[in-house]
Amino acid sequence: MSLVSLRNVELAFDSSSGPLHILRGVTLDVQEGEVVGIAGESGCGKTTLASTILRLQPPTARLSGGVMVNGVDVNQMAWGDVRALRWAVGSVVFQGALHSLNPVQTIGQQIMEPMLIHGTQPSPSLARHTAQELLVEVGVPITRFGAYPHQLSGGQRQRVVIAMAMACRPQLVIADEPTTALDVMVQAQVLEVLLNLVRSHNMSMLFISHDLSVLAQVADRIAVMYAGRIIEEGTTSQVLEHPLHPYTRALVDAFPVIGDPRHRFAPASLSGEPPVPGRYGVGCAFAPRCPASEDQCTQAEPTLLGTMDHRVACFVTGGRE
Amino acid sequence: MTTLEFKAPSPAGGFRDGMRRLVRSRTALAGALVLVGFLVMALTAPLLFPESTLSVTRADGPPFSPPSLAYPLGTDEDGRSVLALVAWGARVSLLVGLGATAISMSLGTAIGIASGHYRGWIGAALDRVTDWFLVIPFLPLAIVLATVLGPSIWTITAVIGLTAWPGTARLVRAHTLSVSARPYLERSRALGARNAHQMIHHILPNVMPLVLANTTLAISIAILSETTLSFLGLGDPGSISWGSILDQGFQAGAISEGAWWYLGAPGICVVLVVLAFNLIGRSIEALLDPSTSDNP
Amino acid sequence: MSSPLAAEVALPSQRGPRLSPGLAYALRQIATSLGTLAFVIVFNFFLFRVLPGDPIALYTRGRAIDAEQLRELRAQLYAPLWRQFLDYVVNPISGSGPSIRFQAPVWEVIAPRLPVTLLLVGTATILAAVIGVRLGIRAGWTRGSPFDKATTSTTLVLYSMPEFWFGMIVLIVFAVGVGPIPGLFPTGGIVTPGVDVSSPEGWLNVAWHLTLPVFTLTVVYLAQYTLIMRSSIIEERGQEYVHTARAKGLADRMVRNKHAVPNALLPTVTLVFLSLGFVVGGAITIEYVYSINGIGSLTVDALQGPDVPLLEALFLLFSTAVILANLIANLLYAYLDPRVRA
Repeated sequence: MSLVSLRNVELAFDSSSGPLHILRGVTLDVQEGEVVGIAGESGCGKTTLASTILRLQPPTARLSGGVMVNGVDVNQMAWGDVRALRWAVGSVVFQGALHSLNPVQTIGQQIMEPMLIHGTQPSPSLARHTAQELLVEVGVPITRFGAYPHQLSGGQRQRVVIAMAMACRPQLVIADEPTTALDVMVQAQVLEVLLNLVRSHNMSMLFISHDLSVLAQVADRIAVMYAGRIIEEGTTSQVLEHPLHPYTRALVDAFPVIGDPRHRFAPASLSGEPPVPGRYGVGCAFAPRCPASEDQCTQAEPTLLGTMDHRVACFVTGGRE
Repeated sequence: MTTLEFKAPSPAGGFRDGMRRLVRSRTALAGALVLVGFLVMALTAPLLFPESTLSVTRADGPPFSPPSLAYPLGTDEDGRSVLALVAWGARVSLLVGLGATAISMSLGTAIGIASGHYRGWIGAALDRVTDWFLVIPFLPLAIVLATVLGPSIWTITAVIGLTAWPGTARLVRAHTLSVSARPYLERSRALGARNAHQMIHHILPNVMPLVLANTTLAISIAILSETTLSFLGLGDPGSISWGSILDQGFQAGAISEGAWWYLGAPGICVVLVVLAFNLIGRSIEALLDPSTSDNP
Repeated sequence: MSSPLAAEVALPSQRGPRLSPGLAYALRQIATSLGTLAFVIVFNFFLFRVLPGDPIALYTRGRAIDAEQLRELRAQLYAPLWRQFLDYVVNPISGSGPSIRFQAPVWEVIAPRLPVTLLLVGTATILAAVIGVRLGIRAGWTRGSPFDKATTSTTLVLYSMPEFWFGMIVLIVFAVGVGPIPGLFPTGGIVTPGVDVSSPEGWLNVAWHLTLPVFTLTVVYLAQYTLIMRSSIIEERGQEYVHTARAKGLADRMVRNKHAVPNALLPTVTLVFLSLGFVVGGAITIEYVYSINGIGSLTVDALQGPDVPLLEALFLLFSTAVILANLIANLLYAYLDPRVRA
């Protein structure tokens, strides 16, 4: 049984000008101990997708499809069970640690809080001890235990957020662009910390990023999202070395190989603008920008086809090597 | 010397669209209707209730009588119709409210733009002065100023205008500072536009929507202030405003007589007018910044 | 990975005799307040002396005084301006002279009436703050709900009301009685004549007299504080750390009370102190309407005449109180918000 199982998840918001379809049929699995990366531009729905796993989608959203954690549908659960699930089974590492942390509480308190709520530590002093150990594990000096978020550097704050996510030793960590706001050097360090923790405790991770190079370092499998759907999915090596979907190809091509003369002159950018989130027409949403699109692409939406190791939703390149 | 064409950012959709959305807001509409009603009342007062009906010696109604068919809002201690008093009172109350706000708005906007635009000691000095006046509590200051200037409605108008400008100045200054940082001003500065030109042609239009929203709220505060100052006897003893009716009634013992109509009527008028301006002001604010709106 | 035993870096304040950021901030605030006070004193001085009109007339308007007093007054008012200014600045409270009406030093007139005002305003402010904050939290957190809509509408109406008018209506309804409602409360004053104020019976008597005015003021101040707290909570509600708290599995009430409220209280506390100017205005008119012998009604009394020295002194007193409240607000905020604290 998969740890997380998303089955044909659809999510829409009501707006003054009609419904906005943010997720349009997403099917994805995360196994125990697996790191799954979700790649895509902003607006493609990746953050919203991740939020459904812990039933954190906005109350005004209308959701259909199955969101299963450990075999139980999260949206059918009693409210108390959902709250018990949060942080203890699956936790979140948010982007932008400064705003994700309460400015008037010490970081020590914030790491301890979920332990006390979920009872994973029987007493406050034990919780404190564990929180300090976590700080050590992420590489933040224990002396900073009583510090406030604004007193730490950006990298330290992100490590605190990681420590906080580990507080209840969850089975799953959802990392939503955890390193995007950091400098490149700090980014590498923080990634290393996160990955080490996840691997050493055999946790699963759902890693969301628009940066394929980061996903290349951490993910076992990659799912590429576009316009509310997964358009390509497979093992990291398959997707990055043999991208099938024209969108994935463009993303991969955006990273020049230093020394390769072809990359010095070829314009690697994608033409056109991403579609307005929630308002997608008939046919493949990528067709307007696609260099390989054909007539059939504007008439119907392609489905994900292929093998376990590599699937793609494309009429033109699907199923072909 | 022409500057590069640049449209100053306006509320999404422009003025006409803004007006359309304003009209659709029920609260703003209700507020506007109430105001029109009182405006009509103020304008037609001399026709419906000739000045003779206000004369104390000629009044022939029974003193302190509750509302009846003959006197829909009852009578005062001299037998005058409270309805007539209230209708006449609308004129001064509205006039002073609008006049004082005109003063405070112009003064506040001018000082606000100047203090935000001029870097260096001028801007800092203006800002400091604004701060000082902001701190001084309104009623004691108004009382002291009115005492010095003598009792009259012009005194009250001037006093309210002179005490209300700092609030606007502060708001306008903050907005000016954020506007000044925008690139098109840099551009115009680089092209050599003089300060006055910049302030009038670039900053002012940008600041206007904010000032307009603030104006309706300022009017409501001005009317409340006039009512208070007239009630304390700082207005012209000869003129009638809602506040002076309340003063009159209070002095004449309307409370011990239980003459709720005498004190209730002018007060409710004040509440209605102030509420109307507040509702319109809030609707305009919601238009400019939808996050402040309480409509989901 | 850095070792947990990494040496602590010496904080700037430990490096030598330099002011800690917190102390520097406090001193700056105090300096600014003193500057504002200086401005008020200068302003107060010039207001009555530099404006058009005969100063003698201003001081004696409506009162007859004898030749001796007139001579003294002339000597005082026609002395060179710089001399007057120095005299005034050195002793601002008494610098304007004795009260014309009471024929006594202004401080002797003001001081005995101060406790009454403090009792009235203090009680109302505390009640209004406590109730207003709770209402504001609930309204803001459930924004758009029937409770919120009701609270906001009521607050808006209260905001549009002259507070003294509300006081008069309350008096008519509850003190005099309208129709079937009997008048249960006194129509004014702070105590029934003859009752010993220091006895428990006296306290009850005072409380009975203060009920309506405190009620009026509380309701009026309440509107202000509710609105402030409500916008504060709405602001915090949209913040990311609130989302984090929910993701941690906290129940809604805990998210509100343990995360949003502490953050929302910061600006609210400051704004409550900053609204003292508004509080002062209410005190003046309500004391007048309820015939309560505090410094508020004293101010209105001083308008008869006008009793210029008394007015000057009261204006200075009110301004100083508000400046002090502003100072406290700024210092308190710095103390409570860890982002500003040293």
